[in-house]
Amino acid sequence: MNKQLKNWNTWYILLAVALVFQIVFYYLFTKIWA
Amino acid sequence: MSNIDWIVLIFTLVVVVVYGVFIGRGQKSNESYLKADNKMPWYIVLLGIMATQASAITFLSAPGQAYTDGMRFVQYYFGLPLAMIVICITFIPIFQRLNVYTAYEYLENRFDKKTRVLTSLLFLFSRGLSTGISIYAPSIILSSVLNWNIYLTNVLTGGILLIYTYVGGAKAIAHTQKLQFLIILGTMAFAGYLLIQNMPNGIGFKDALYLAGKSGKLNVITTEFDWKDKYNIWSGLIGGFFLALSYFGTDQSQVGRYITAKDNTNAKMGLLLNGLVKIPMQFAILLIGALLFAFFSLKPAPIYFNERSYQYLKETKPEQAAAFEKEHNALQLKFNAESRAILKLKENKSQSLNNTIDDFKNTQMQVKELHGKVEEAINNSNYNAEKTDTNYIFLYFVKNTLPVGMIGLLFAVIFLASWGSISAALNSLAACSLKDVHLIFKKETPDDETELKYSRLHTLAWGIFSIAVAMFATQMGSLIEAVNVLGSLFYGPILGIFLVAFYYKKIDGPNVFISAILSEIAIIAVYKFDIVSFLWLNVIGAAAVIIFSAIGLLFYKPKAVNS
Repeated sequence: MNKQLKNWNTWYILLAVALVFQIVFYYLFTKIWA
Repeated sequence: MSNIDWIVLIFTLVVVVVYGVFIGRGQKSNESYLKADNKMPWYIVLLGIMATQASAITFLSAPGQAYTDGMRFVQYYFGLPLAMIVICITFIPIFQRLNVYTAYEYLENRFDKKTRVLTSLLFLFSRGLSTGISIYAPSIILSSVLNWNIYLTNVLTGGILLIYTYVGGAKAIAHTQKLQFLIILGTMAFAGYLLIQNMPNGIGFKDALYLAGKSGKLNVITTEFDWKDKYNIWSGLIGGFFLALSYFGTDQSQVGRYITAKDNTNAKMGLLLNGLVKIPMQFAILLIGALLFAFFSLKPAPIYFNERSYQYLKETKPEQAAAFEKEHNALQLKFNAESRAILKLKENKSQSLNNTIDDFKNTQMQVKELHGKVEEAINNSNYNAEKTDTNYIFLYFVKNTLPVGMIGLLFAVIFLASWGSISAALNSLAACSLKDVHLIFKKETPDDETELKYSRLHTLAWGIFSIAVAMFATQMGSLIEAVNVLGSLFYGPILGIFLVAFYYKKIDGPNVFISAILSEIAIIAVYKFDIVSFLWLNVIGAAAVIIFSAIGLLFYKPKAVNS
């Protein structure tokens, strides 16, 4: 695996993690406010 | 609108057109015209992708959607970031390596000419008609709110952008989209700020949020699964993933944006950042709608936001309208009083808070029922323009609450949002009809200058076609909805063809061609029998192509396959 691909994989994982954090945030938002 | 609003509106639109023509001038080759010489940096790719997806209806309809149904619509976008990752891994490297003009060009390389032409024709058919509807949809709203002639509004919405799209092609589109989207985001953010500022004295953001929450508008996450429910976390993650994969990976109006990037890195960065910011942006737009509900819980709301259609009812059935208004006025007074009482009791942490919230919800239900009756009466009348109310909620607030200048800017935003997505659609339609159809059946390859001329003519022809569809849309009635679902009917099978191309190396052209046609028939049957909500049609359509292709392998031995 070359270095660039390895770097891209890190970005893909970060984006997936950001999605999980967002869903958790929206879930808590719904729980607190709705 | 005041004179200042007119000046702001015209000035903003003229600046964008002049900027587009200026930056896109001097096109010398077709590569430059259709792919902007592959020189676009990531941030222009990002803004282009976002401006293409966000049409005027996005900004008009989303706040209305949150106002009526709550914020759960945001779940529709949950699959998008995952789709961006798959596109970066699979689609972009192949499109960049083959240096394609259209996504479907790759299918000739992988399968055969007829699969390329079939897929491109499916795209041209659905996108061609839907571009006409995306001109008509904001035009009918603007013509109603501003009392403009619908035909003239169609020309303003779909015609003026043709000037810079025709002259400057992909480069002009990319740069104007950048400018358009920055103006749109800035204006929407300011409108959100003014909404909070215009709440009654002493009521701030938190209070408005509290009221919106108690009225059920902040239901961002809904976890109950139902095949027929459009927006829940499951349909959003799975159905939304397949929809975003089809749209960003196989729809030329999006592919045509990121193939203009300098290189793989800039294209991928644009797409990944789109995956990061799309959901928060949509959340913010929907939040405006939820806060608008709080606003109209505290201040007098009209009986129907689509004022022209209600006016028609009032003129044709005055007695029925008077009865509606009497009931509405009484309910409004009660609803406003209960909303204020809730905020007061909330601060004092009073025991009677829960009882007041129950009363508030009860009145909210009565308001909704009355609204349903008014809607039914309007639907049963002979009013021949748009009868629905949702798309008018935000504009009602803009027109009646925002300061002079801001109203003109907001109306400019509606035009700019339309132009951003329509110009990208026209450019992509021209690229496909020229490269995948016209030149395929032409014996001699034309020189670059002639090809550029053809590209411009195709752009112009699609522009005129789309405006013509918009003009006929008034007479189309229920056909408009049929055009809107066309995308969902074609997206799944188109995605299926690409997934087979990328991941199922044993399948060849004749097999996938027949599988695609069978899948199209299957998906129309599923839609016709109303088995699932539209988001699932993408999943089923894509899966059908893969399954039919696999079955085909049992009966048919492929020749050598290109990979």
